[in-house]
Amino acid sequence: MSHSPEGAPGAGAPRSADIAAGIIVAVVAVAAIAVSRDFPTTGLDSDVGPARFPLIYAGILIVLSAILVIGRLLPTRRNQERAAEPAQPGTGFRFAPVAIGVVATAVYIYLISLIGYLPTTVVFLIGMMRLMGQRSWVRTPLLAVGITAFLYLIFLYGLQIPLPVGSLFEAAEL
Amino acid sequence: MKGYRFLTGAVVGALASASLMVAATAAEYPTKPIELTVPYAAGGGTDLVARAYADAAKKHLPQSMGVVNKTGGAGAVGLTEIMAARADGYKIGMGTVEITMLPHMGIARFTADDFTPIARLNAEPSAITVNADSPFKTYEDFIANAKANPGKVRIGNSGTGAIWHLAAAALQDKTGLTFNHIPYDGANPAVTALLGNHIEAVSVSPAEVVNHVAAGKLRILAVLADERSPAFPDVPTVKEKGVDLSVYTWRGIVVPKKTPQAVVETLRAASKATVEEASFKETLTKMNLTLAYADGPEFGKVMQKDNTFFKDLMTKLGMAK
Amino acid sequence: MYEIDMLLKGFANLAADPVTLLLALMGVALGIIIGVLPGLTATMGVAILLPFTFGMDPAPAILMLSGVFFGGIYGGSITAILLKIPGTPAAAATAMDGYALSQKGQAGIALGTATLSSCIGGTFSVFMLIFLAPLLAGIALEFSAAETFALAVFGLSIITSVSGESLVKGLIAGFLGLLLSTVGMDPMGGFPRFTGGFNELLAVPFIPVMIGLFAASEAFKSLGQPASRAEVKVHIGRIIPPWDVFKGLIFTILRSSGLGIIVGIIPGAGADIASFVAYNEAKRFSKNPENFGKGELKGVAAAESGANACTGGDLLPMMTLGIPGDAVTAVMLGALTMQGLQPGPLLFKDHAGLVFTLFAGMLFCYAALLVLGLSSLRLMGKVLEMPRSILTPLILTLCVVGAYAINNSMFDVGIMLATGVVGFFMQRWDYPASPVVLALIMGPMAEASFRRALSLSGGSLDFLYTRPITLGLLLVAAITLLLPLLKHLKGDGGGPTPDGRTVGAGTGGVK
Repeated sequence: MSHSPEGAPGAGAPRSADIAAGIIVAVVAVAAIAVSRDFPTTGLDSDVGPARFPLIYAGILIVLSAILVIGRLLPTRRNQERAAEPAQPGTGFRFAPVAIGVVATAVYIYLISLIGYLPTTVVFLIGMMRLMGQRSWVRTPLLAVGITAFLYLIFLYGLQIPLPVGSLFEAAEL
Repeated sequence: MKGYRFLTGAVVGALASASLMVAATAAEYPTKPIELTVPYAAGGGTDLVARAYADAAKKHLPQSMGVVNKTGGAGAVGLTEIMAARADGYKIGMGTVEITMLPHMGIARFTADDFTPIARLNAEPSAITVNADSPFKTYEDFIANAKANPGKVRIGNSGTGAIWHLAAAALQDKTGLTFNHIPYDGANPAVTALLGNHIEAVSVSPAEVVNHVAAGKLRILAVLADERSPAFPDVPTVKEKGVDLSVYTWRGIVVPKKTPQAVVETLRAASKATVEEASFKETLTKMNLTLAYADGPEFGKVMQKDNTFFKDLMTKLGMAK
Repeated sequence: MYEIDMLLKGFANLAADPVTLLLALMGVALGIIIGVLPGLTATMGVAILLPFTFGMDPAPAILMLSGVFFGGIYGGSITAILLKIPGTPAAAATAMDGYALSQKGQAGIALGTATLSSCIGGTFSVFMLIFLAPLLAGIALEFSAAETFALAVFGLSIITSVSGESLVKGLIAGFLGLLLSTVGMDPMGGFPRFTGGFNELLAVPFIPVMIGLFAASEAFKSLGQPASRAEVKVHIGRIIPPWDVFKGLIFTILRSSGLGIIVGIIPGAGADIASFVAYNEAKRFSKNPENFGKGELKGVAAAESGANACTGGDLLPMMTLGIPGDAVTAVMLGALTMQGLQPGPLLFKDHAGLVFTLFAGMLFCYAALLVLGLSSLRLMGKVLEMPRSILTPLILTLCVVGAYAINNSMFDVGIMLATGVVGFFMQRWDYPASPVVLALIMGPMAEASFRRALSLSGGSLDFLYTRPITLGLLLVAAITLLLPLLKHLKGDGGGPTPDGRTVGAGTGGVK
């Protein structure tokens, strides 16, 4: 999944990706069907029960993913062209920073619930800006602190939504 | 202005001192702002009552009170959060009748016993309301028709397992009739369906239909209450009609079970004074709600009674888990 | 005419009350800001502001809230066009063509058209509210569960027209969205489905999913793009569309406004549905439907005028009948009640002066929206000049706080992140995000109203063909659904591309 020979997003998915996605979708649908089978019926003649709609949707998804996968496996002109056509010369899309970004965001979210919005956001912003090429040790922290404070104040006073202080600090106040 | 402040100060003192003397250890409480958690969205009925309460309570507590909405799961998310909050009195909650309903449906981690009641604020009964064009002029007409056509009378409610569904189901249970319960996504859509004559009746509270009744579009046949509603003195209760049933939705202040007694006493005293505030009463009147103050122990009895009632009813309906 | 007289009196009342006008103006400005921020919707804006209006007189209170409502619906389009991040669900339809225009260097025209269309659609709907309210209000009561179900099916059929390059992928995205929409409390039995025991999942976390799919995925994508390419400056360019261009949009705007008003009147249907319906019809009536999704100005005009025309439509049954059609108007109803005004037929009788002052004020709000919108666009356009290395971290932070703010819940933030990752891969592999949004809006509506209709009819499926509105909507849905399929069959029999042959050049490798 982490490997893609193709160029920038939107240039068309590679055959392997379509097949993989089709299989993932089918697995999700089968799992949904498996879970839905245990849903109770409402016991009324005038109701189809909670399982009916998920079952219909999941059934159609299996058909659609089959069409997708079979469409890419059949020796059609499109597939051959695609196969013959070598991967577009790398447009320079790199997965490493995306993966780092996703993990950093996940850690950031986890830490917000722990030590609160303010410190984590400043660090997160500085880190992400550096990841993306803002190397200045003056401008970057200043921007990070500014954005963090601005959002905090807007949410607290403008929208009456206090951003989280973190469970550790809530405990410390006691 | 100054005199006014002094006056309210005196009132607070008078009301609070008694309880404070009992609870010398909590003389400090509250030393920082109190957070009032509302398990429903901002702008809704429960939220507005909570905000009016928080506003009026400022005069009776040395610290301010802020409202925070924690929505989701038909109230289960917010109520769970109140239950699990640190029991120090700085995070109190707006409890609703759902406290006594959700635990039986298997979608809540709390039970009614996990909360210490502080004060009930308002209570609204269920009412059987029909369209003004409906052939049913009285409760008797309605029941006679339902008896003649079992399963044909469609009663709209605010959602399966929600209070007004259970009210209609309880009426069905007590009278031995069969209704066709139609769940809607809240009381408003049910009332809209009734206005469009798509259903025969709704079981929502008088407050939710009062505008349409005043405009001559809808007619209330009976209330499922212990006594007649002051707003509709001509509408009979089902008790008068020989059905021993009353179903109320209520809202009130609750705290986690382990909250120190002294803090509970302080909040009870403050709540007692708060509900007497003109601003609070005015808000309820504007929202067509009925002030139904009940102090902690009395409120607790209501909770226990409803808890048993809904547990039995839901078991009978096959909804209990 | 009575209405014109009263409206003029209303304007006179307003002119004598500059504070009210100022508050309305503030409302619009606030609304636009709330709309721009991902996750914050018009509903939320109105709800948050509500307690602040308690101390005010009725006219300023209601007008300030109306301003937030109108501005919030419009504001979502700005980030949709500039960054492909719809600030509100309604703007998801705007993003499709708006962002494509931005990439062509026509961000200014797209924003200007969005602003003009919003203003015209909204103004048009307020006039309908003033002159035709009693006539149109009846529509709301005609809509029972059967009609709502048919409307939802029609809405879902639009998936075929927003699928982009590959119909199969669009349908997969749509049906995944539909499956996702069944997460939570079953609408008839109250049974929790696919929740895994999380109370937070008892209702589909729609907004966090939308933020993840659109905003977070876009930010993740931006992380992977090399820095060198990013520094190409995009300029906002001309804002007001030239008359020649605008002339071609007038009919689209009027049609979309009409549709928006009708959708608004229908209970349970709001601006999000209106914008997609208007977009779909604009595409259907267009001579070049294949241009939609690739930067067609008509797409932006339709979505925005539809969404804002919905505001007047939403308010219509609320004010005349006292029935709120959606969440925003439910809060507005609360606001009127708290002012001691009971909406319904009596409101127009007992408080006619105030009602027409409110109408005049709403027209003022839309004028204010036009002025504030147009004058702030250059400033908003600066976003395009911001280095990506600052913009992307900022967007990610906004995603997090925006997702948190809806329910004050970190759980929702987690959902946002998960769908952000899914959205990233969807984008890479050409699965459009709009069908998911449509499915999340329409799915719960379709299921709940189908089962409700079945229950209302005592278990008989007759409601599908015995009710004229239902039948009509279902037929329109069938046409919407089948046309692309027919075209697809007539075109190339092979790959899953509905319009491969007609476009040819420019779609790069898709044939």
